[in-house]
Amino acid sequence: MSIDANEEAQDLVERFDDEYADEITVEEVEEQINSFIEYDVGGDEAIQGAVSKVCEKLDVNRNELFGEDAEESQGDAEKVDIADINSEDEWVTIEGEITHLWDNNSDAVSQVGMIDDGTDSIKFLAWSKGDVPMVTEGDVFRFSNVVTREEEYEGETRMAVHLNSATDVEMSDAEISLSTEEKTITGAFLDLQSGSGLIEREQTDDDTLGRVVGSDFEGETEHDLRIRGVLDTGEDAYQMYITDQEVVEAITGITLEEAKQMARDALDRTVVKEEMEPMFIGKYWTATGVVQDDAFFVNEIEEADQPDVDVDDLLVRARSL
Amino acid sequence: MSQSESNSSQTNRSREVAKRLFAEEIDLIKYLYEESDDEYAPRYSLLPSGDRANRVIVAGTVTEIDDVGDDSEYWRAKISDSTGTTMVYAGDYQQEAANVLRDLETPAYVSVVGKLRAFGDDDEDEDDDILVYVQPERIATIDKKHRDRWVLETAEKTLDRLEDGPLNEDVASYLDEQYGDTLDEVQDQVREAVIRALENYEGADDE
Repeated sequence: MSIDANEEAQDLVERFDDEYADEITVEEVEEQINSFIEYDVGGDEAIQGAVSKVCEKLDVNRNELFGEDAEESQGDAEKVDIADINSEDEWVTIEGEITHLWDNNSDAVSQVGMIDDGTDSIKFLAWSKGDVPMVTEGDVFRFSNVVTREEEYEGETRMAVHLNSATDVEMSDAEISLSTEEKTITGAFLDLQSGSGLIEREQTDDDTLGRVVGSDFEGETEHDLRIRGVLDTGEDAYQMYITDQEVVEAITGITLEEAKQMARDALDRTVVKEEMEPMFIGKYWTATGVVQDDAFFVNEIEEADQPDVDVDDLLVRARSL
Repeated sequence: MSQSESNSSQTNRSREVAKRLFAEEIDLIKYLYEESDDEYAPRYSLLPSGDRANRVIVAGTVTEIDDVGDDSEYWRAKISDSTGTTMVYAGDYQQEAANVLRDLETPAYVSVVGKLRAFGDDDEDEDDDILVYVQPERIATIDKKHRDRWVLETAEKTLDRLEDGPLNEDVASYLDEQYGDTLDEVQDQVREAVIRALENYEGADDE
């Protein structure tokens, strides 16, 4: 939302092909940009939206509007590694395998899922009004001109990319070796953090996990069990999440019903976290799950076995230093 | 927006790993410093084994727990591992740890995660001994098997540090300044502590 509509409008008009430069004024373009801003569309999306409207009004396509070398002057946004995406409102091109497609009941959204280019994976969302081709799970696609966005997921700020009318989608035959493989990590659990224990999630229409919400949230919610904490290997400190209620029940021995009862009896939800805390802290755990950035989403976890370090080997090492 | 968690997402990206230290090595620390003038720069302890530590994890048997405070509670606990004793002090700002210490019965196996701090650290006279202790973030009782695992991990990590040499130029020059000719001897003490810990180890894999 940090663009100067007037400046951007001036830039745009300058780039219009001479043929059309007289037919549309800076003021009109500025007005278009502002109308998008008023609908809470910011940054480059507002600009691209305004360009679309200008094309509509003049009954031309983008290439014509910007002149013959539109390919160069507008060009495709720079291709980047997903791992390097860390700020919003940037136009980028990415290419990767569609690893997940989620159920989606919203009319405004045509598709939502995950794309992985081998460096990392990221959520993508295609707006219906963008009218982009549908993608298929397991295939590789090139998304040209998508805009980066920040979103909340499990209490963390995560990046996502949005596909809109400026986006081109093409299937690709590039080979991708996925970044999001399962890893098994053993470390010491050093901190059980807020958002653990008995939590409330926003109710969703589909199978996706609703986001965690606080007591001030006014929509429909449902209770869940969750663990959020730090797994420290001595080399890395992972932000660990267990979002599977059954796994949390299995480790803690506390069921969702029991947790709810505890909270009711104490008139305070945090008693559940307090009850769980000593079960985790200071112990070594072997956890299997998916690592994304520094976040570790755990599917399986158990107390660590004896380490595969041999005491005698260590003694030899120590004595020979 | 889940406001209740939006604060933590930033800090966890750069959460410091906890160094594994035996009591003997903590006892041999002489020098603490910050790497920059930044208000939030962490205070590091210079480790004789050639690294530096802010957050640490220590484990062992808690042998004494006392409230040594005057007007308000100030908990002191002694954690014994087979190389020596580590002091833990929990005051007003370590409520969670203080709560654990208040109800804890000795002896028990515990794990303490916290930051290294020192008494006598701000004295002008550099020859005065400092007392390095752990200011706890979390304390928990653990089973013997977790304590055992910590011993092996700490032995391994300590040997890694000794073998790898100084972490960087700053650490190398601080080691030289602080220990001078005695550095080899001090590092030997750390190494011998590792040997002691391993010789005393009675884990499940011991025949």
